[in-house]
Amino acid sequence: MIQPAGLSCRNALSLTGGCIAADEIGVRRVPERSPDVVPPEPEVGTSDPVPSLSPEVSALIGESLRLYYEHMMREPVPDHLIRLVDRLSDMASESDGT
Amino acid sequence: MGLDPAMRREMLGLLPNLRAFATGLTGRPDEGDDLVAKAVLTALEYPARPERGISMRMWLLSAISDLYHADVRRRRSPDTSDDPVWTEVVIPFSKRASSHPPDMRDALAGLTPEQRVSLLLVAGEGLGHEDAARICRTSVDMLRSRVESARSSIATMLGFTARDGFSP
Repeated sequence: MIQPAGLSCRNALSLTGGCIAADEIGVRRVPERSPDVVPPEPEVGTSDPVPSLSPEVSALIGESLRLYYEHMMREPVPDHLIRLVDRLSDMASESDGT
Repeated sequence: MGLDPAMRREMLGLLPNLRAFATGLTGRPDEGDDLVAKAVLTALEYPARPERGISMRMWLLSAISDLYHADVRRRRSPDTSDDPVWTEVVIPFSKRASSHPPDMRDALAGLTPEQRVSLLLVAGEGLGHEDAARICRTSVDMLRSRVESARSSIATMLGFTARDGFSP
């Protein structure tokens, strides 16, 4: 796993403005696996036949899911998330001495 | 260490997608935002020169997926069994007090965590099966199976029957 350099629970908490418990931040622990490693995952009970959907029902469900997702995407992004990204960006500027 | 201006712009542009994915997983915007915040912090690990072509988008979606599964495991542990578990809604819709028909949020809540992640990545985020399988750390065949199972479960929960072309 790639470790973030120099990010402790303390400054992680300050980055989030305290919106998340410090012990939950734990960026040294998450993600637990580096996203670029993809080991095969065994799973039981997957040989059961999957009920088949007609193309019409499948398309209807797919469209409903897409609309639901788009609805969520249109929700305004909370300020604390934007501030968090800005803080990470500021860290880059400070470490560059700019 | 931190985000350069290009990464900052990219991440700000990704926030609506990340929130939709995380909220779709948790069923609650506040819990979804917590997942997004934690995932954003993992961007500090994002390599300056991504190897094997993993994009910032893939990195962050994968982080959210990992964080979500870690949360599910934590809530399932005996020490936290009293926590609300939005990942395991098992009350049949027909037995719920509410008379309103189940909506997509309800239907997603009735899926397994693995099905929910797979379906949202493919049907919501629009990822191809290979990319979604990579995030889910599983095979493409397994990913397809999860997505199909999820669609079938949703069809059942939304009341589709064999007459509608649904063949259980």
